Amino acid sequence: MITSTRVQTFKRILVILTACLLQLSCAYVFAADNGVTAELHAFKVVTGANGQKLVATTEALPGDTIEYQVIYRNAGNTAAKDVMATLPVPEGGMAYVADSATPAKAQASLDGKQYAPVPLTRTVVREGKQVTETVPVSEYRFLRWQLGELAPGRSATVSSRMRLEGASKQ
Amino acid sequence: MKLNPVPHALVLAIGLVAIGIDAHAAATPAGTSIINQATATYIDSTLAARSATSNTVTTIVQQVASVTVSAGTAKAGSVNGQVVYAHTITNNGNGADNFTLGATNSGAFTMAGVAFYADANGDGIADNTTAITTTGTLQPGQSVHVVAIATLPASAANGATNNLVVSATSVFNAASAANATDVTTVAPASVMDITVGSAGSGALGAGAGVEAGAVQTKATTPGTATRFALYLNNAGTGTDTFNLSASTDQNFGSTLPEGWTVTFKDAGGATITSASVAGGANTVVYAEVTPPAGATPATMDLYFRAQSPTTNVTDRVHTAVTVTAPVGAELKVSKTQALDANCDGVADTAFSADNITAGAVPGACIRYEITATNQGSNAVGAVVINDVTPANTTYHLYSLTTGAQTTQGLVIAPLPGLTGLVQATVGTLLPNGAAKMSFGVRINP
Repeated sequence: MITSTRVQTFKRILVILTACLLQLSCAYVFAADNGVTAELHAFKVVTGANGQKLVATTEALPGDTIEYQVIYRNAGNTAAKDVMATLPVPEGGMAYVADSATPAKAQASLDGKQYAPVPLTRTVVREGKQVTETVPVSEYRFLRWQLGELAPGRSATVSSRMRLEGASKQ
Repeated sequence: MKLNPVPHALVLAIGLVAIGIDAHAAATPAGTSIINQATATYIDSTLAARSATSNTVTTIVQQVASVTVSAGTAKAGSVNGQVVYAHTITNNGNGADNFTLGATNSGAFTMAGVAFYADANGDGIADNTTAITTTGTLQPGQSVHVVAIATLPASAANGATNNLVVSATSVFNAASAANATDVTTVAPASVMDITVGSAGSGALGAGAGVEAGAVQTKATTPGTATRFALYLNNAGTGTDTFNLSASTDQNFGSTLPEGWTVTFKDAGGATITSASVAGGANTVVYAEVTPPAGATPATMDLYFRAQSPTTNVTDRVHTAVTVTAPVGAELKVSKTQALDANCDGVADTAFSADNITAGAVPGACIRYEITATNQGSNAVGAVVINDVTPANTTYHLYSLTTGAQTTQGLVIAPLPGLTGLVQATVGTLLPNGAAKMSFGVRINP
């Protein structure tokens, strides 16, 4: 019986070792390719008697406002420079809520290629004259922040609110 | 090459569906997954460009109920009659939903038998007689037409109103509902007003009841028909049939004078005795009035009446017919006489066409008056009134002022004591104009 116990113990150690090795190799690959990690969370903005609060959600009703928060963490050992954080405005009826980008100094894009500081403007010809008009925020498809340098072990958070278009919430 | 029409039909169908969705799809459909993923780019310590990608976050769009009911309308209805109200129910939610139809009514009276019926083509008429209580499943943005039919109770008073609140309530979320109010005002089933010549409030004879004076006078000659255009205006809500009649008595207590005929005809010229008029509409009928061939030229009041034998709704209109003498028979000549017993040239009695039965003894005198009247509608010219001294009399002249006289023109007469022609050359007589010649004779002693 002692032998069988030893075998079982050995097997357990083997499983733990294998698991550790796998985890290590995964962590290594992660760290090697992505010194910076990104973690996205979605919250529903609930307005109550005590003001607004954020509730983690996987569901939304038309008219709801969702706040997306992204935590960028430098898990590596060296500084990450020129960090540019991009948060899309997802398809399916979501629209950027004006002035909700945090940090406020954000850029926006309609196509994911050309970015400009918010609020976006465009030049159109109307009645033969060139006029500059503000692009409706509902047309924004991407938000971007220039976070600069992220030291090892440090993290930066960006957030923005999106409204699910449709009937006003009842 | 043989063309296959199916692909064209498919393209068209797809186009229509796309338009339908674009026009109505306001909210993101329930069940839609909204997926988001953040990224970052940066430069690492080896100056290599790198990127980081976050986990994906999925948000599932939940169903929300929303419904609209098209606005209500106002209608007039009559007791025991039905009113039909068309409504369009639209699912403005983001998921398939079914809606319960409901109706409550309030006001001066209560509607009976309120029910909903399908009206697929939206023409405001129920498709069948099967009542429905729900809309059936409607996709987001989809609409359905229904009609609400209600019956006015027999007790409803004219002018009273009822508010019928039609509602649609989401089965998915009973808290989501919409309604619209239809207003019914009780109006008489039929209201008659006869007008002459045209329809409407400004027409001749507009307004209820009989007019004090003739609203239209038509001229005709004996034996010739004249025609009145009578508009039967039914301001009620329902169709009614009205019997047509004519009388010279505004209360229709007497028949027409002998020889007179009145024939009613419809717009197509067919002879009718009654006319059907829909609620809120008018019908024209023609009254052809014919005086008898021997009718005396005169103006006669004539009343027309339309009366429903079922509802007793009625109206009368006042007209008149002026009979004028026909061309060539315009002049009417009448002769009257009076006794002048003492031959002083002055009639002892009023002139009359009656026989003188006393006092006409030899030596007494008789005065005559001959009147010519133009009963035509045009002037007549070269009028000459002729008479002769009757047998057994001689022309009598008491004084110049009592000799042969005429009110118009020149007069000639025999010498006093002789017999012969007495003649007034009158000349032209205007319509309704008259000239009178007068003279005296003495009965031979």
